[in-house]
Amino acid sequence: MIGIFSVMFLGGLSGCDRNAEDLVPQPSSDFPGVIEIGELEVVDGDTLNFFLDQQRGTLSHIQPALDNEAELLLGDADAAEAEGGIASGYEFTGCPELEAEINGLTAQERRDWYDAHGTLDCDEFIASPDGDYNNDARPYYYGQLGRSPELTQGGATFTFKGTGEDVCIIVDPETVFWNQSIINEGYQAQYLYQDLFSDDGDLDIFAGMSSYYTGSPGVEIGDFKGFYTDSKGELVEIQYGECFQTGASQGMTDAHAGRGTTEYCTVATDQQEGVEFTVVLETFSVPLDDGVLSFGVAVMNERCPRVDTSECFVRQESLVPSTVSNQPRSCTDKLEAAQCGGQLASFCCANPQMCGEDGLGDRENVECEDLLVVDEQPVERSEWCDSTGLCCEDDSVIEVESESGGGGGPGL
Amino acid sequence: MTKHYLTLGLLGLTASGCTFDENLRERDLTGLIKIPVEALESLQLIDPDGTPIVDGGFTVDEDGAPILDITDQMGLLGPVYLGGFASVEPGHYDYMHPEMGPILDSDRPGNTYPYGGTTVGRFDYACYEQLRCKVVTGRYTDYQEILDFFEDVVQEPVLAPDGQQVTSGETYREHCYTTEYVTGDNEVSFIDDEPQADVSPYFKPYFRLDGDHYVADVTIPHTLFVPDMELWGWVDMPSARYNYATCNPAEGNQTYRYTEQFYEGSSYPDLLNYPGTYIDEGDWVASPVSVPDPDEDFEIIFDFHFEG
Repeated sequence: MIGIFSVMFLGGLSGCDRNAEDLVPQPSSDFPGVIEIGELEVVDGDTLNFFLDQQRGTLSHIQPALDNEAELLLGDADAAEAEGGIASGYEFTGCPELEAEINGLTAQERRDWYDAHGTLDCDEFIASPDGDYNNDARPYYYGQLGRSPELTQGGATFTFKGTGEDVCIIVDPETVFWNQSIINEGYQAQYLYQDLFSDDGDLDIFAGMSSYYTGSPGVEIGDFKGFYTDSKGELVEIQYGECFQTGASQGMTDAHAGRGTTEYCTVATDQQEGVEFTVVLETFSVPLDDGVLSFGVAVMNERCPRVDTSECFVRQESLVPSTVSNQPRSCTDKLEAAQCGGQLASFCCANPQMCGEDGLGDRENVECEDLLVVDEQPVERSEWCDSTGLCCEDDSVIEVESESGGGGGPGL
Repeated sequence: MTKHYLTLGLLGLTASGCTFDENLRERDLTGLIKIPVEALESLQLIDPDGTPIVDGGFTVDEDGAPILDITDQMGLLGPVYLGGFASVEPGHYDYMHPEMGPILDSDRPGNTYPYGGTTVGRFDYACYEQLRCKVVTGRYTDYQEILDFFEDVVQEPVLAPDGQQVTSGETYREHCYTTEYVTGDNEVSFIDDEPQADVSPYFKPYFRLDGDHYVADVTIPHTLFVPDMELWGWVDMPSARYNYATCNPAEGNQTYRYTEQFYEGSSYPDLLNYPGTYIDEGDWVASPVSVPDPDEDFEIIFDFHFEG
């Protein structure tokens, strides 16, 4: 009898040796925990519309992969069709030299052309057709971070040049996150289905003048804190950071958003045109499913209230873990589109592998049949898919890795 | 016998606990502040037409003839701001001013990084929109005194939301009870019928006339004490139209009551950090006082009249 209890006791003790290491992704050599992005251009919304082939003035967004097949032809739509291309939605006005240069490029080729030239200004282009006006600064960036080693802070850094005006920094970590609706009365159908939390990561944004930054880009994440010593020898910590986000509580100006959610802040660069600023994207959490945190980031030449700072600005930021391509994960673009379109619950019903396992739970009187609706009529999944285009082609069930990730496999 | 030893031992242990020193650097500094009576004697208020209504220590009629002695009207003394700083020095402004840290924003001076501070009197919302940023705690004993002050001294009688003049302290009290959801005068900070009551180790923001000065006891609570730190401050005196520079009527709590919608006013949050941006014409500024020992009482005299 005593022997049995002894074995049970020792067995219990052995459980004390476990730690949480097995539950979190491990650092990976393929995806470093600290990366340096380089310089980003303070980009204009119409430059993004140029890549997206949208009319100038349209609400813009960014996305990692652009179409590289359809030739976008400027000028008359019928003529474009006759030539086997697509009439461009983005039209230049009064600049034949630039039109001749751009005509017939695909969206991806437009992006490549812009990366090489850095301007859409007619005068600048005519003055120097082969010039590079943004000094290789990228208009936006998509990247991936791994988990940093224990006791070190991970994250990404990049710089931009002050314009003399307000700029808006926007970062979106993968993927989307929503709270569950937990009440039966007055629930929002959009959030009935639970979120798959293991595919979400979290980045916190900080920014300030590069001269105050204490980190080593690509090696060690720092901050924007400095110290002032008064005449009595007292040390006072000074916050030189200039990126403040307002929290839900009144007066809270150093807030950060949670996982999977965009963070953004306006930085005033008044009287600091040409001055270099550093932005730090601190890793708060890495997705548990693969240990790789994908994100997209841009710096816009507007105050944030004048920019789309929603989940829908940085599109398709959930990338296939890869060091060479910027391809979005299968169906995450549709998940994001459903989130932006207020169709999350329907999407999750049609694509349960993209959402939490618990589904609608034990909520009474709510069935997926009620959520798959076209023209206010319940329809079959296939019909809903055809109507919305929000169904994943691969219906295989996603296996969330129960052990450590590390970026070795495709995860989702 | 053993019991006696045990008792003695416990007593000894208990007593040893009384000597435990946390070695905190924060201390309560206590002392006296003195504002010359000249601060009120030199005060001038005007009506909307620019005609003097307070001059030379009296309210005056249209011909400038004195009517009422105002040197006992504490409502004319704005909040007194008091802080502890590394040092106070000349050269930044026309008055002595605390040393400042680096200038981080071209629109603002450097931060003084105060060690601590307090006020003697603070702005409090006194139940009527008209009185936002105009009533300071520790200056009035009852409602009627406020009504009389604004009618006789400031010469802007208090008006109720319906536009009728409030003439009775009882009416004023009932309005406060109704709109502020209070049930007793002890819940109202801007009046105090026992301003001299002992609330030690702190003091009520109450001034008494002592010779040529208005005098008040004050404690600067829980301030970082650094040997030879300097205490300094200023009195925010009302402008010629009876407004105060240190209060923002567009901040603070909000009143939503039927058609009334307004902010109730609040002091600016960084007064001691950037005092130079708030001190304006007519204010009285203190001479700095060094504090070598936190247990010694200080005495600060606000003896510099900043004339703009």
